[in-house]
Amino acid sequence: MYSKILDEILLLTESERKSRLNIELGQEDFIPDEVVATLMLSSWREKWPDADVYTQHLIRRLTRHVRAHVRKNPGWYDRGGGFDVTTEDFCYYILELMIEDKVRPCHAEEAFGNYVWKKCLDCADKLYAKKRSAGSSLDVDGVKAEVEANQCDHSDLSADVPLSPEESLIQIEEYIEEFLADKQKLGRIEEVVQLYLPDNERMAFTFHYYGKLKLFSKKPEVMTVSKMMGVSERSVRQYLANARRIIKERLT
Amino acid sequence: MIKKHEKTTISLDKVLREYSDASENFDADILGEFLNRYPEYAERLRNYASVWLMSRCATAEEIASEVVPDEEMLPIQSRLLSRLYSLKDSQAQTEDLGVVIERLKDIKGAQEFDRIALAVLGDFESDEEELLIAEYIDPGLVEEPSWIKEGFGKVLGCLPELVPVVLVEYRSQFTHHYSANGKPVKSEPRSWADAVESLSVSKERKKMLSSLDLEN
Repeated sequence: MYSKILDEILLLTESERKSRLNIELGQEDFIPDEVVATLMLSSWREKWPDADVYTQHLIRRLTRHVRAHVRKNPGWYDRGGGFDVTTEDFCYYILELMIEDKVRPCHAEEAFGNYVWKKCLDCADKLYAKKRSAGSSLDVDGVKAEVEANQCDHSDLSADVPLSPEESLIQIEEYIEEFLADKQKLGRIEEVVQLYLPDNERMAFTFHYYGKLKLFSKKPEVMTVSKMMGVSERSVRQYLANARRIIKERLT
Repeated sequence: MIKKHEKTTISLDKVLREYSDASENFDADILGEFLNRYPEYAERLRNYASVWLMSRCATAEEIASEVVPDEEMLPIQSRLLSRLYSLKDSQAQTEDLGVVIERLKDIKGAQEFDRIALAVLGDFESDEEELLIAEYIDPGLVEEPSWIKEGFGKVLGCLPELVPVVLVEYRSQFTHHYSANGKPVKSEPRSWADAVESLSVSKERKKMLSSLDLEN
């Protein structure tokens, strides 16, 4: 798909090539990101004298993609040490992977945007896994969330009889559903999920609400949250109840 | 196809990459298949899937509107380029290491061992000293004097500090040539001094071979 454009670019003189690279998206003769990725990788591997030029252009484009993704995910930069540090670390990780990839053409040369997104997910996964391995009990946010969940529990206990997790679920369900139906409010829920839910609550919530998985099923072939997490239905319900309480508390 | 419960040798990174590439969007059946195939990585696979589900992908418009001013972009480009050059240097060193290991692999037969032993030890009193060199190469000897590393470095054409790295890598590649049913049992390598002590050579020779500095 891009080989024709690449051939055309390679036929240009060095200065013509440089001015073509400066053409912005949406303008005539714009060079697609995939072609810039190929130019950068070829120049890097074959030690072209102007390798830095292509690398700098690729870095510029990559930074745009990564910044946009990082900006939409506060949980990433909260765990990654801030917006700028996270963006730069993600960019470096992606560049390193591209350079080390032995496949020709690599995924980045065929679908740059999709490649960058997938690699950002790799980085985000590492950030969440790192936090997890560091011990969720020491996780300040997690502790805060649990404390808040407990506080929320106490308010629920204002009734004479304490609510069971199932009863709490029913009570909060309508509230959460209402939020999930509203795009703006959905964004706020997503932020809370990324920033404040402890690991198990986050998994149960994401598998159930975003992954549309049932909590439990007697049919062995049906994928459920319980199966995915390798825990009982009761535990899943408890995680979800906690998650909902934390979300409700954060949203109000 | 990897069967359930069979211990895999595939790395976690590779499994996660394979999982990420397996579908465009989250697919519960694919996750279930991976959990079944790689139970040892279940926790990380679940974490990955959860992060995937909760993360929001920027739209083409959002990416296009992400304009980074030059005064911000230039330092980023400079830092990333510099990190990439460091990476390139380390890759070049690894490639060099590959060449040195190949040289070591080419050492075959008694005559070649004679040549190496002579080059490293200068001269020898007993043929057993060749065995000392052979043991140093594989399975290895620890706490060797620095002049041994220097001698080997000259023979192999690499820096003395790279010699232990080359030998470790060589041994790991060497053992892959065998196909045994069970994992070969490897004893802990003994020290250079112990190996010298067990040689049938004169006390003076032992002293010389054990000395930390060849000049003394």
